[in-house]
Amino acid sequence: MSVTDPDTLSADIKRAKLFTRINRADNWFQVLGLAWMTPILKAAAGDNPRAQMGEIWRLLGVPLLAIAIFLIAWGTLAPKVQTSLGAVPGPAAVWEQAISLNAEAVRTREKEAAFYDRQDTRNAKLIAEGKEDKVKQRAYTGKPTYYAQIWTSIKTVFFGFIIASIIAIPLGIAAGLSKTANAAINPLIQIFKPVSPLAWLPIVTMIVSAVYASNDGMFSKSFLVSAITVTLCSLWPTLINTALGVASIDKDLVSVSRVLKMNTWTKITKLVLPSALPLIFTGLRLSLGVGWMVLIAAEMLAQNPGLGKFVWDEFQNGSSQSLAKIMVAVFTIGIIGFLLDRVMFALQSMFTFTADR
Amino acid sequence: MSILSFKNVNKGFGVGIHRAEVLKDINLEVKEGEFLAILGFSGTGKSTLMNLVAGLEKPDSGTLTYRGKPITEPGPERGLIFQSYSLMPWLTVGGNVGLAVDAVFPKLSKAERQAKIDHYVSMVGLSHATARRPAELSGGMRPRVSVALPLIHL
Repeated sequence: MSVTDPDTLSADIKRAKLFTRINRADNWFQVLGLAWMTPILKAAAGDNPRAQMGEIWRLLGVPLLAIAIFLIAWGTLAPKVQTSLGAVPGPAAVWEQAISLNAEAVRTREKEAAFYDRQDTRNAKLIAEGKEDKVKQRAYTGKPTYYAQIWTSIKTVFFGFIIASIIAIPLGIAAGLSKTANAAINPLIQIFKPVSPLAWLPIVTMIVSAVYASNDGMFSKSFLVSAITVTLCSLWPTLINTALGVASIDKDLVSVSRVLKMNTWTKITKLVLPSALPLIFTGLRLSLGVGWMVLIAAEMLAQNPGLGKFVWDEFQNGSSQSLAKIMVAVFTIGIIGFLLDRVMFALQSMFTFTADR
Repeated sequence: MSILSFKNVNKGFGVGIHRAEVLKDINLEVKEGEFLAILGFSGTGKSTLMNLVAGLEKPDSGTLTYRGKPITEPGPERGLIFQSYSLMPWLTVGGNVGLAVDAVFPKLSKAERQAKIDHYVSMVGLSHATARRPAELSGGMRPRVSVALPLIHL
């Protein structure tokens, strides 16, 4: 029997612990779209570098190379197309506009701060002079910054998406549990699912204008119109997937619930929801993706001050930088859409039961 | 007086030319305290018979009674161990037993409920594994959990 040196033994244990930690972190990297971190960490921790290089090349090198090829193709082809607004901008021009949009946002923020400063000193002076009745608080009415527009879009899409989920999940559960409910809901799903947001928008606009007549300042009309249009288009994936998830519960587990004589509420919370959750989340992910796509179109037409309006305003503006700014918006929309999907995916892996029996 | 009785029970599945009669004219009397084993080749209807007793299926014709009353639905007095051990994969052993405890004793305080769960889990010798999920149990431990469930009804 060989005797192991205690030093190498403890080093081995440390190494094993380190690799366990890397493997656990790998789950999170996968969720966040950073799968390439794992082989780099493993190589850094002293694993056979040659084996890890292959992984690094596949997970990091190939995607970067593809992006580089795309940028080069874009940069060489774009200037060859002349539009009334000048040549189609290449990557450099778009990057320039991204920086200028950021600088503009910083400037606007400074202006806003200065405006409130002036107002505060003016009011303080009026109070000191004993003319409290002349004190006025006005909100800054300047142009929203690019970041404010992004934030408006995100708020709008989530508002619409949450309403859609609140409607779609219970309806989907009902449709999955009862064949009668499914027969009632199914034809409506089939008819309304393919309708374009652009067809809903005029109807929603008229209804919101008629119903939400109060000017209580809680929501602006354009916000509601865009959010409800998002709701109407993002209902369906959640509804269909929830119904499917609920309908395909393991028959044996349903028998268990019958033997245990579970009442409807226990059955839904202890059996239906846990087993349907993976598909419900798939539906929610699809819904949020659809909602984000629909939102931009809705904002353009409803003039909700988000990214859609930004694109529309730049299109109408027609300056030599407009196309580049619109392309900045395209990338912003894409990146935010990707992040939203990752957020949903992370929530899904946090809340759903995955280990198979 | 028999506890369980089958009178001319028939049960089949499918329709038309795909119809298969599984149980034909079954007559059976089981006395209280009697220990009964049913043997047969695969596909001869043993599980169908158990599903009828449990009330998960209804006979096509004939009558099936438990203590003189016809069996129409599943009930806690007729415990059943499922072939696939049907445990909720997202609940721990304690959680699965807890579901059955709730079904039989709906009005327990938290402490009493926990005591019941611990009692039945220890009856099948799984006290050390209460917090594990079915996927983390060995092949021999899973059926023991499903044995614990009908015991609660006694």
